Amino acid sequence: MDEQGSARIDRRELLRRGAVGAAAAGVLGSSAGQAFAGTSARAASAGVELWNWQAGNAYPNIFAAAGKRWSAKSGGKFHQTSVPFTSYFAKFKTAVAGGSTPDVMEMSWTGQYHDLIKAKTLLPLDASLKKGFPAFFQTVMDSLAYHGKHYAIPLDLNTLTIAYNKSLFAKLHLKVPKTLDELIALAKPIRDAGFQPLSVNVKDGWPDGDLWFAQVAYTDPTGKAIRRAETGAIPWTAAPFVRAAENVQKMKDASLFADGSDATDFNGNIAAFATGQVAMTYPHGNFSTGIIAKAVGSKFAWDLFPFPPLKAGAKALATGGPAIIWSIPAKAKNPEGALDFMRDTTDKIGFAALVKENFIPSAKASVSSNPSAIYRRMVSFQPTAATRAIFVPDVYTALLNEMQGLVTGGSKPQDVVKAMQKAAKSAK
Amino acid sequence: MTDFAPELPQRTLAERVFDSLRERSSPGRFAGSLVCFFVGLVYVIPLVWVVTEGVKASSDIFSTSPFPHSFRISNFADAWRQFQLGTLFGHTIVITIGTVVLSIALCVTAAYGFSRYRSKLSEGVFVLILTGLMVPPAAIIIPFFLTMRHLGLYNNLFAVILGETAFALPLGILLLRGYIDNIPTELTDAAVVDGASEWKAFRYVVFPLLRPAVATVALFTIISTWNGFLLPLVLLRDTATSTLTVGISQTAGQVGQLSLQFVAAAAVMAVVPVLVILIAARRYYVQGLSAGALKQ
Amino acid sequence: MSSSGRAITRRAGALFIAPAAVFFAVFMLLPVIAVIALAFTEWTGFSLGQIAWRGVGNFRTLASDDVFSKALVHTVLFVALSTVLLNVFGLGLALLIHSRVRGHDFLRIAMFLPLAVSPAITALIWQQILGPYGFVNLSLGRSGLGVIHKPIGFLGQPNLAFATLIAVAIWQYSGYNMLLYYAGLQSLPAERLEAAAIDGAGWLNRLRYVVVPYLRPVIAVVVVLNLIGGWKVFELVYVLTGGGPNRSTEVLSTYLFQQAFEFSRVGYASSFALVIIALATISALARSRISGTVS
Repeated sequence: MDEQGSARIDRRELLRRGAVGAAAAGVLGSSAGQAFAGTSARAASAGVELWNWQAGNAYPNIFAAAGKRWSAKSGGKFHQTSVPFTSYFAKFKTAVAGGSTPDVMEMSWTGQYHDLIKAKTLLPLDASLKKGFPAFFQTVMDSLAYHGKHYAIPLDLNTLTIAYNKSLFAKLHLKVPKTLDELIALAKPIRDAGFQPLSVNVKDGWPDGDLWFAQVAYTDPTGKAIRRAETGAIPWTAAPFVRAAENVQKMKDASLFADGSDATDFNGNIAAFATGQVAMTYPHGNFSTGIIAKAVGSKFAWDLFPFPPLKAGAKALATGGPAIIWSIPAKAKNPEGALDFMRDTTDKIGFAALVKENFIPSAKASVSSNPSAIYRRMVSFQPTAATRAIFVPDVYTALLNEMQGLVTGGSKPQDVVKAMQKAAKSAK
Repeated sequence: MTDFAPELPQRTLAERVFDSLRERSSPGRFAGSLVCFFVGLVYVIPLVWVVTEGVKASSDIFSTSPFPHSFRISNFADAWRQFQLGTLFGHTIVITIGTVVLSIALCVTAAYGFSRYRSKLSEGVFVLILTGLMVPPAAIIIPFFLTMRHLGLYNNLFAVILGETAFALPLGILLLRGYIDNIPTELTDAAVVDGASEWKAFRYVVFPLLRPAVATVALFTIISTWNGFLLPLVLLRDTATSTLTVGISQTAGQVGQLSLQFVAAAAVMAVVPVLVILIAARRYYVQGLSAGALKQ
Repeated sequence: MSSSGRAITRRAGALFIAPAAVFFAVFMLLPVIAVIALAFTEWTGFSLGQIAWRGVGNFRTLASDDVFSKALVHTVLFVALSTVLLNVFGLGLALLIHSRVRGHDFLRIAMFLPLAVSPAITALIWQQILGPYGFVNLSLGRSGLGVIHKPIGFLGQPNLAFATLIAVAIWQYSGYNMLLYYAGLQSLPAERLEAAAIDGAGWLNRLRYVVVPYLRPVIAVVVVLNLIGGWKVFELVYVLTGGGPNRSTEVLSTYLFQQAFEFSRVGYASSFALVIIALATISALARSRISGTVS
């Protein structure tokens, strides 16, 4: 009897305490602000949320300005969320699964792009592209096509080149190299003078892929080898791909890469250049020249040149393609608003804002203002820019990892292409 | 000389270290002191470094000298704004307090039940909960995320509280049960005979005695929750406004983030609260560790 | 122990245990069961309707996945090396502190401090310190001691990065072991050591015949704790190296994260989870079995 009674009281007491606890937790929850509010608050307004991984350059300001114009017209709220690149796609996938996708997002046009289309997470945009958008350059649109459809809109273009310290080159009586051998030969005089030759942000992975793409531009005169290898028409172990990796190996063997490049990230790369410790830095274009300009200031003069050709007299080719491309997630709550926002960034005013910050618009734009020397330099490389994309994520990942291995030591040129071929096989 | 100078408590650490190097009573002890000093430096230097980095001027941040040449206390205010530390602190504090309250409530009651009521079933449940110690967060983050999504808790601080609590339960219950085992049952028996319910006997007789053990469990939970990374990274949507560890460590690597002095200043501010709590409550930390270890 | 006196009733016991048990079942047991089930499926993780049964297919893919085998080897090495080194450092430095040489307080406090620092922040700090233009390389280089001519690639050289990762883990966690061993040494009767010393035993023999046997139960627990902790490594790697260069520091948890959240292979990633949980359980059980047979 006594026992039963006490057990009953126990339960009642426990229930009471449980209720108090739940109420307390509720209060805690409602007072915690934004993150507790979760997705419901966002859904209520017909706003547009943009995701991008840009920071430290002029893009966020350009987007904010375009967002302001869009808000003024539509009355909706524009919100920009900066998501660090390291976890960008992990965050996007959890956001999709969690039912709170952004309305428009910066997309990576290699690797992830095709994966996300296959998983049906992006909207096809072909119908919308005919309404109120400029005629984007055909080569760029081609690179964004997936089975004939477009799931992204290009904002601007990128050419990847080497930035070099003009003042230091003059001081050391060095000339801009005309061939790969001349570039490699620069390593010694620069090192002898107590400086470092070519800094690359090897840690980030993608620049290691770009070292290889820059060489494929020359080792594959047809310009089609990468596209053909993607379809399986030729293997990734084909000669142009091997030679491209071998060229990078040659650079490494000649100590062309700055000491410490192996653990340098994007910011470290800029810092090494801006502090005058390295004579050259790669890969730079559209997205980073503004950051370099800010970091260098008036300390020294600098300019850009593409990786030089293999033979003297041949034309120098940069690699490139779209810079920022935008997609609309299939579950976006305001896709129409997102499209209107994109129209505002790609119209006359939008493009003028890009040019002002040395970004190259993705369609013919009447450039009224006087563009800078750096801008004109980047535009001059654009028409002949070779591809820097592999659209099979596993192959692209294998390339980045093995090229990182090659530059840091451990992988040989053959390892790079073999790993790519193996990845292509297992991806099927 | 030193014979006449008693060890006064107000002597600074630096003085003690200096003295330790002068004492040469035996070569072995002197070598031991040297090891203490240099190994200790390895532990301290990174923390000192991050403080000096945090007060560097931006012009000094990429200098080629290993030592700082500037002092900008205002970096802390700038870092506070740039990293939205107000929001990050708010979220981290709510998650930490929520986890501590919830996990203590669950651990204390369960530990009492496991200690005072023993059957094959309860022992089985106890062992099952202990196996939770062996589950790495990364291993179950996918289904955990899915569960939270279906509960409508994605991007909700509660999801993180629930997750951190799940990982705090096994150790908390283990430590507290060991502690309760050492409390004589006669205490509660007397209370129950006097007419108090089992709950009241627990609440007013046993629970007050548990304070040191609860403090220990709370301390462990505070440290692991405040410093948690994977759960907030996956369960909260916006990196920049999630928690201190995620917000600072992820924003630090962002393209164009050249203000390393602000990163360092933010890191210092994120670490200081736990460091202060740990040092202030180190007694409970050490006791808890040794109790937990010697128990088994 | 509570064997004497009166235990609480079954109902009360159940009521006390139930909240935690239910919570544990929902938020730990259920996910573990779910991840085991997911390991046999193919799924992008976006919508439940797309889950497809794949049987043991994921495990067959595992067997031929070079990155997985790298990650597996690194994880096992990380657990083994960090456990051994944490115990060597932890016990060695606890003995030093226990000997109360001058400066022992400084070392004890210094080792204690990293316990408060989040592994993610630890990784961030060491990444800067050990970087090519970081404090250590600058101190050793031209503007410092001048003993090196080019920066050491602590995090950039594939063969060095893994050692660096272990070293950072030791920095982070050795204070934990030191405290446990120090607490164990506190109760070691001084006479035992003195008796051994009078018998002419050197410090190594005293360690071997007096200290280690005395601490055996503590060592057993500490080793299990280190093993369990080792399998949980994630953010230290994720923030410090991201698994690079060229996967030389990739561990199972970071590869799982990449496969699940970046490549949308939730089913495949779940099969790693199964491997991690199995390994962690086996190692913990094996350790207790070994210590059981020894004692």
